[in-house]
Amino acid sequence: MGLEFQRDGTQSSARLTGELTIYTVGELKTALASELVAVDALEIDLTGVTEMDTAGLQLMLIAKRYPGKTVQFVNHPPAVLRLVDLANLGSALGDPLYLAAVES
Amino acid sequence: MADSSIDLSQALGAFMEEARELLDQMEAILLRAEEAACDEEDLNALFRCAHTIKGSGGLFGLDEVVRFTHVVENVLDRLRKGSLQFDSALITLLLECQDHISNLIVAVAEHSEMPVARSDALIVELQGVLGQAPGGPAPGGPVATTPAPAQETAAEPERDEDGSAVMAADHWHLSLRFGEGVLQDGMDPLAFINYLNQYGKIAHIETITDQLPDFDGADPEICYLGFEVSLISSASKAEIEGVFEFVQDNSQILILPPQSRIAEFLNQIEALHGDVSRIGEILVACGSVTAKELEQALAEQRRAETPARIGEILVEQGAVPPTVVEAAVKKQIHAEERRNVESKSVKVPAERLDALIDRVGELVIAGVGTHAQIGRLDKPDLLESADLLLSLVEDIRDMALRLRMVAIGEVFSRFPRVVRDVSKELGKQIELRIHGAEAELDKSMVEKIGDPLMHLVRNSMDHGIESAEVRRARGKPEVGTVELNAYHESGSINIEVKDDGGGLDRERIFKKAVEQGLISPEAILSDQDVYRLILAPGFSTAEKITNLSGRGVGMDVVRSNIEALRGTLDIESVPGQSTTMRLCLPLTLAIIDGFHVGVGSSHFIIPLDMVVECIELPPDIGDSAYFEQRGEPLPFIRLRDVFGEEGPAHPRPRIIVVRFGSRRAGLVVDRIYGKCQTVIKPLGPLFAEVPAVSGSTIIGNGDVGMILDIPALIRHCSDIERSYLRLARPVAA
Repeated sequence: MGLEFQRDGTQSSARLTGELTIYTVGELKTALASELVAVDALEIDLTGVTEMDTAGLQLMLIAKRYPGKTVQFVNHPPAVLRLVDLANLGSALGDPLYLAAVES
Repeated sequence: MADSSIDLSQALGAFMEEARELLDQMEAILLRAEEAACDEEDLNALFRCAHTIKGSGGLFGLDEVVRFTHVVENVLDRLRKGSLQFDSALITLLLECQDHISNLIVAVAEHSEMPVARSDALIVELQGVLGQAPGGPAPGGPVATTPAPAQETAAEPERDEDGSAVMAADHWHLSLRFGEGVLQDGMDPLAFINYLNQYGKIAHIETITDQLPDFDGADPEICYLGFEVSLISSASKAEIEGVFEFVQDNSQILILPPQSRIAEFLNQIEALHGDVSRIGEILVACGSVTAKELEQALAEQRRAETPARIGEILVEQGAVPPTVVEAAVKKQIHAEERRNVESKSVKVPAERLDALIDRVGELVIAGVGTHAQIGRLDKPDLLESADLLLSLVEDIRDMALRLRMVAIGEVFSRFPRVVRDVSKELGKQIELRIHGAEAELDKSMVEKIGDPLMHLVRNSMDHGIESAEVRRARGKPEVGTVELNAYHESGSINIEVKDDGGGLDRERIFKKAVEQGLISPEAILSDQDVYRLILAPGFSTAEKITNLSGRGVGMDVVRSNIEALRGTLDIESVPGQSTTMRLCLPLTLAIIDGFHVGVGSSHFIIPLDMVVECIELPPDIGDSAYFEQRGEPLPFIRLRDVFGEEGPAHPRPRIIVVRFGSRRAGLVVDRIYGKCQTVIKPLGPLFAEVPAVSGSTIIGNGDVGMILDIPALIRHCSDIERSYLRLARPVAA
């Protein structure tokens, strides 16, 4: 699991790699918390996510609920899309999803 | 997994209890309906009873209960909507159905075979009421534009003919709320849901996120999400349940079969404890309203000054039928009420209470023994505190016994139904009046007097109350009356079964008894004694044998049942007017206040409630068996003779005058020790042949005392007396 932030003023972007599962959500939430305190908007690139479970999906929802901050997820890989689609949360998360990625 | 099976059996127990309560409620309403038209509330309550039983039954997989109750529910639903009217025949049918549901539940409890054939027979009748051909397709059935799973048809042969009531015709609906710890336990809810694809196609998923806290408050390792899933599948319920086998602990997994009707998902709302405040969300999740409608309603709620409930707004907008919201709102209120009730009473298993009372009994014995020893020490200070201790122990005894007291109404409540059914069967009009249903007695007694009372009531209705023609001819009101009265009297409870019928025919009873060789034709008997003959085994005067009574079985069983409870049965009768059967029972079976007496070297206990007074035996009495007291003859017996006691006698014996019911008698004893706490210990089978002793007890100094069964003692002696009278002095008065 890896999460690297690149801050640009009040904006930050991050690349998440490895698992987004029950084994990593605790650590990830702490990392997100310390970054979100400092910035107004955070964009998380999920390209490198290899595996996700319910806990991971839930963390995405939780992150979205950070009061007053904008959190966006981009580049959902198949592992993430499958679950978002299964849980029918695409619209609830509100991130642009690429159908092409589902097919790959 | 062992834990979960215990949970389940507990939950099942709770279900049974609830079902019984609901069935009682149904019965009460149905009986009321017979007398006066049901109001809307009753009809709704009736429907809800059946509905809740079905719903809870479904949760436990009691398919037969669900299958049968479903049809009953359909009928009740029609009644509720006014498209069907109550008549006498329908009420009878519904009462039979109520009985049958009760039997089904008993069968579940006893793990015995389900009376399926009876279900089928009743379902045919119910369908007749509904105007359906049994088993045939419903007219204008709205279901199955896609082929419905075939095996489900077997489980639910009847279709709802009311198109609008059927929702989500061909898919299963799963409502899933996982336990908080499910993620930490290494289980992945979405993986389970994904696995459902093995059994069919997931048509729709709604992820319920409203339990999700905000960012700071959220523990990402706790599962906050719930899921509502529509599944198109031909799998069985067991297969689908199997998917969630490992997460059942702490999770709420609700699986509704295809073709569930709106009623079904009302149930679901009811089942979702904790989520009740989110009616709107649940309604949407179930597909009952669309998200858009809900959004509008929510917007309205935000606009309103005083927040109206979402449910009301949705109804106002015509988005959901009122019944749907009513159930949801009811649940909110119900949850509140239940909490209130729970704080007022505590449920305790009966065996724990019994253990407590047993211990209290031992405490009383030990207390009395200690008190007696201290009394001999000549230490006033110590004795004073021992006195206090003993009185506290007695208080505790009384309180402990009171814990077991229940109102007799519990027994009486089944009689309105019995009277109704029996009077129908007999073709008589009989009204039941109940007085004193709040009188209390020991729980163990309540359980045991049901059957004897039933016999007495049936007997009164069958033999007591005359036919309408006879009543008219005698100038009585056509409708006969049977009364059940209960009241307390000197440490015992009296229960009367009274009818305003023809009374007992002294001559006929006498004649019959002579014919049957029970008495000799010359015997001189008081009215009471003649009436008591009807309690003799095999005795019956009924000229017409019905299937209720008249076979000569029953009254003797009643008598022995009552005697087993240390009770008595008195019969009073006014010819042509009334008969009263009066049961006199002790309030409890465990501990009594006793009166301790000695004969020779033996100790005897007489129940204190029966003791009237103690007098000295007149020295000039000789061999006589009675003496005159205040102008009235008082028969007496010598305990020394009855029990063959040979220990040292007292020069001046005493007489204890006892009273039971309306009789008085004297018991001649040697010594009087006075009042004592008596914990009744049952006698072993070895002593079964000893007459007139109902139990034993340990008295203060550690000796064993015999508790006298006064009514049996008197009877035992008068039996001897009577045979003596009959044989030796048949003409004497």
